[in-house]
Amino acid sequence: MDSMRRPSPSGSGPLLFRIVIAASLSLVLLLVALGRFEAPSLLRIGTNQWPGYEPLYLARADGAYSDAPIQLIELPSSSDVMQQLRDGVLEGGALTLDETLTLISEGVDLIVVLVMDISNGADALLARPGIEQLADLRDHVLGVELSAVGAVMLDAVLEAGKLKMDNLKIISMPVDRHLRAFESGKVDALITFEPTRSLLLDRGAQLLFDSSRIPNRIIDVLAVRRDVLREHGDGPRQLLRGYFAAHARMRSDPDGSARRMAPRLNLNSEQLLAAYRGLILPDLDENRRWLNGGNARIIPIARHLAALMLNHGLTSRLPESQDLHSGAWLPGSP
Amino acid sequence: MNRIRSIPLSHTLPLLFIGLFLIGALLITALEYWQASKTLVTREQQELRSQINLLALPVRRALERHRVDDLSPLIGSLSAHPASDAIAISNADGKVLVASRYAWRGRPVSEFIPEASALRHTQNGTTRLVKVGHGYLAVNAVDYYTSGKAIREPRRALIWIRDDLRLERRAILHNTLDHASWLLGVGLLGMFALIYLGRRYIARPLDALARHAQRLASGDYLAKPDIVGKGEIAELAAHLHQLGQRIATTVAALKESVTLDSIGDAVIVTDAEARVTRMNLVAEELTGWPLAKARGKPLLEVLRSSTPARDSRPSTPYSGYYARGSSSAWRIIPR
Repeated sequence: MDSMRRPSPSGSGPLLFRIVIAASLSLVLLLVALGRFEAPSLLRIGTNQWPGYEPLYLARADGAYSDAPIQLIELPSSSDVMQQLRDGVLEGGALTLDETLTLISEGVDLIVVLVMDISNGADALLARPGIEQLADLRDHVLGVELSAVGAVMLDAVLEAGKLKMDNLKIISMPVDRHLRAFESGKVDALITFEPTRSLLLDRGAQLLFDSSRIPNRIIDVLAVRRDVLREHGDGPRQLLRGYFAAHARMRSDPDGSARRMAPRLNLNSEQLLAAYRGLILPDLDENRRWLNGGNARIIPIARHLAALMLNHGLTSRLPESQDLHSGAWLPGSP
Repeated sequence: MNRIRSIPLSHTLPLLFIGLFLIGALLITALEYWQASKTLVTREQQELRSQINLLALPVRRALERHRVDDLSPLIGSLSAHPASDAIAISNADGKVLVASRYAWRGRPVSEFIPEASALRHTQNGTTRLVKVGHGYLAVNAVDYYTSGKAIREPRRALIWIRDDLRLERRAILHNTLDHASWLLGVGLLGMFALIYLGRRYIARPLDALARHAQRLASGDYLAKPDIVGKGEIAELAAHLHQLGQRIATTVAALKESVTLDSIGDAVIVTDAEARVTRMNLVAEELTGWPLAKARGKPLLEVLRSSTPARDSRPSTPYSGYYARGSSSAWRIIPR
C-alpha cells in the first residue's frame, strides 16, 4: 500500500510554494523600490554667440553631454533665446541677468543656477575712426540693443561723456545686425559685445568705453525653468558638471581650449583670448558665493538692475530677488 | 502504449501561473517596444520631410536675396526639435553657408556629415533619406537664381538635416519598462490571488480527493471525503463515497455468502416479511429452488414446494435464518 501513497502535501510542495511567493513578492518590492522608469527629460539650453557661454560648447565637444539628454541650441540672438523660453520650447537659457529679470517679470518662472561670466570690458562702445572720445558722439547715430545691458552701458556712457539722450540719435538693433550696420555706415557708433566687439576692432573701430569701467554691473547667467529643476534636477546637475570640467580645462590649457572654441565664434584663438580678458568667468567656489544663501552676491546686483529697468520702462515690476537664484545644482551641493 | 504523465498541482500550480504570466508580460513588453520603435522611425522620417519642406522656400528666398543669415532664427527654432542633431544649408560644392552649429559655417559639410559626399547629387525637390549613425539624414536640393546681376545665374543649394534618435529610443525604453513594471506589479498581485484560489478550490480538493481514493484503496470503504460544496470535484467525491458504500455492501454480502456456503446445514435468510433474500447451496439442494428463483419469494412458498422428510416447517413467517440440520427439522435462528 505504501507504494500507492502520494507525496505528502507537507513535504517539498509548500516549501516550493513559499519560495515562489517570496521570489514574486521580492520582485514586486524591487519594482516598487526602483520606482518609476521615467523617460529622461530633455534639457534644451538656448544660447546666442558669446564667449562667456563657450565653456558649455567646449563641454559638449569634450563629450560631456554625448550620453545625456542635454541639447545646446545655438540661436542668433538672445532675443531668440528669450522668445523660445517664453514659448516653452527651451528648458533653460544663457542670458544676461537683466534678460532673466525681464522674463521673470513676464511670468516665465526661471531660477539662476550659474553665474557664467561678469563683463569686465567685453561689452563696449565702439565708434568709427574720427570719433576719438565720448564727447565726439554728439549728433551721431548710436546703435544699441534694446535691453537692460544696453541701458546700463548707455547710462554709463552718457554719464562718462557728460551727454544727454537728446545729444545722440539712438537706434535700436539686435546684435546680429551690428556688424552689417557698422560696415554699411548705418551707424557711427555701437554699444556691442564680443565677438562683434573684436570683429569691429579688426575693422578699425575705436574703443571709447567698455564694461571694465562699471565692474560687476553686467553679468551673464544660466537660468532654468523652475518646474524642470523641481522634477528633473539630474539634467541641470550634469550640465553644470560638464560646464565646470570645461572651465577647469580652459584654465589649465587656455591656448588649446581657445583653438577649439574660436571657430564657433568666427574668431581666431588670439582674438578669443583677447575677448576673455574682458570677462571674468567665476569658478565653482565663486559661484557658490554668488548664488548660495540669503547673502548671495547676486541679490544686490539684481535689485540694482531691476530698479534701473523700472526707470527705463524695461520692466513693469520688480521680481522677488530672494527667489531668483539657487546654488543647489552646483557640483558638490547637497 | 502512451502513458499520461501527471504532476502534483500543489507544487506546480504557482509555477505554472507565474511562469505563464511572466512569459505573457515579456511578450507584451517586447511587442510594445517594437511597435513604439517602429512608430518613432515612421514619425521621424515624416518629421524630417516636413522640416525640409518648411525650409525649402525660405532658403530659396534668402539665397536669392543674399540674406543667408536671415535663416538663422528658423534653423535655430527647428534645431530645438527633440531629435534634431544638426541642420545645415550648403552650396552645391558642399560648403556650409549657415548651420545650427556655428562651428560648421564656411567648412565642407562632409567634414561633419561623412555621408554628404555620396548624397550631393540630389535632384531638385526630391528629399533623400538615409540611415546614419543613431538616426537619419535627409537632404534636399533647392534651385534658385541669384538676383542683382545682369544675367541671372542658376544656382543650387542643399539642405541637410540630421537627427539622432538615441534619446527618443531611450524614452521609449523607459516608458516600456515603466509599463512593464506596472504590469508585473499588478499582474503578480493578481497571480497571488489566482494561486490562492487555485490552491483553495482546485489543488486542495484534488489532494483531499486523492487521499480519499487512497483510503478506499486501503479498504476503508465507508470513509467520508473531506470535501463539501458544489462542482465537479465535490460530485466526484460524492460518487466515490457512494462507490465505497456499494463496495462495502458487496464485500459484506460476499463475505456472508462465503460463510453460508461453508455451513453443512441448509440455511435460508429472509427479510422481515419472510421473503427469501439468501440461501446456501445446501438449502438450494433441499428445497429445489435455486437462489436466483427463490429470491423475493415468500419463505412458505419455497418450503411448501420442497419435499422434506418430516415437515417441521414454521407455520408463521419469521424473519431470520431457517436452517435444517441432520434432525431434518427447520429451526429458526433469530438475527
